[in-house]
Amino acid sequence: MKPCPDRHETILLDAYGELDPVQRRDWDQHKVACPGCRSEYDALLRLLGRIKESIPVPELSEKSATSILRSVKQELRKEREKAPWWKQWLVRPSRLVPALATACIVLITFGWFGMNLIQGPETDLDTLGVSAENQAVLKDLEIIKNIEFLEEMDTLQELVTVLDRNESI
Amino acid sequence: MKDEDLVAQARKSDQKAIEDLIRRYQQKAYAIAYHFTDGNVQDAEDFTQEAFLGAFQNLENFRGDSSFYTWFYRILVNVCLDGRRRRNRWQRIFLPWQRDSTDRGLSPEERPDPEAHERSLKTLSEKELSRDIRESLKSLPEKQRLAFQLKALHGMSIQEVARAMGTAEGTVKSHLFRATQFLREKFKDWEEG
Repeated sequence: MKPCPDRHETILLDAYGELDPVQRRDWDQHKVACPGCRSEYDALLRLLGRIKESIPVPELSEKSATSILRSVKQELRKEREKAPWWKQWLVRPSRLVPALATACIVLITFGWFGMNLIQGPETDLDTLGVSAENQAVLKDLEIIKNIEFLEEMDTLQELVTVLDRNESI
Repeated sequence: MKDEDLVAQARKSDQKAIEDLIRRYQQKAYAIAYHFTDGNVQDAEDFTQEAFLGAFQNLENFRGDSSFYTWFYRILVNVCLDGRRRRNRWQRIFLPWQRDSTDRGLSPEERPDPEAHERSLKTLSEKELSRDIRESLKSLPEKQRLAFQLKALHGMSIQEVARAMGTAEGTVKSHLFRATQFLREKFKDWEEG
């Protein structure tokens, strides 16, 4: 015999002892009249009882209980005795050395790249410490080196002028 | 002495109050951890200790909205869940070796009887039925199993289970309903027999 489909939750709540007085009154009346619900409720109670029997609640031995108690208290005491982090640093400044070293490395690295970015790549001659007069001489030297190329450029310029003139005629 | 008074004194690092609170909830905490770890005594003791330590380290966060034990059980449940996840990760890594050693370590009586699966639940012996129930509980999804264990085995109210699990009462009811339906279906034959 099957229980009423709308009573599943009530059966469960009653089996777990979670029905409020109003629900209980209504449910008790229904249970008397409905053998399906009653039998389902009884079966559920038996099953829950059987499960409880199958899985006994273990006892913590006195030895283990004392051991847990002692460990917890010991850990808490250790923690209380431990000074806060800033105090530890004050007492032992050597702990700061790795942090300071790392900070220095980071500062130098970023400082180097930062300077390069600000000054840009066109300031090579300036960074080498070359004066303005010497810079002019260096530019002249560069023109002399490329003089052949410049002569060819002049020839081409003339050729273009001749062609233009012919076209205009 | 009431829990609230003990908590107030424990906040001032009163060793006696801390000891009294631990003694008061130690057995129940251990039982929950024991069921949660499938009967692993060492893990259950470790989880119990870890939960108490966590509770006393964070006692200033306890606002007193709920009872101390509900707050503490929530910490315990979280410790157990985390612990089990950690253990499962290890098991996944070392599963092949573990399986070998487990098979080798079982005595002939402890080894599962292949024929037992073929027999109906009606004919199961008491011992086999108990084993079957434990295995069925293990096969439940984590939250359903936890809700069921806290309610059915440890006698907590649905409200307490909800607080311990950090979820709504409706959700706990739903977990309970599904878990119970699953077990009811699974042991229908036994019940009818």
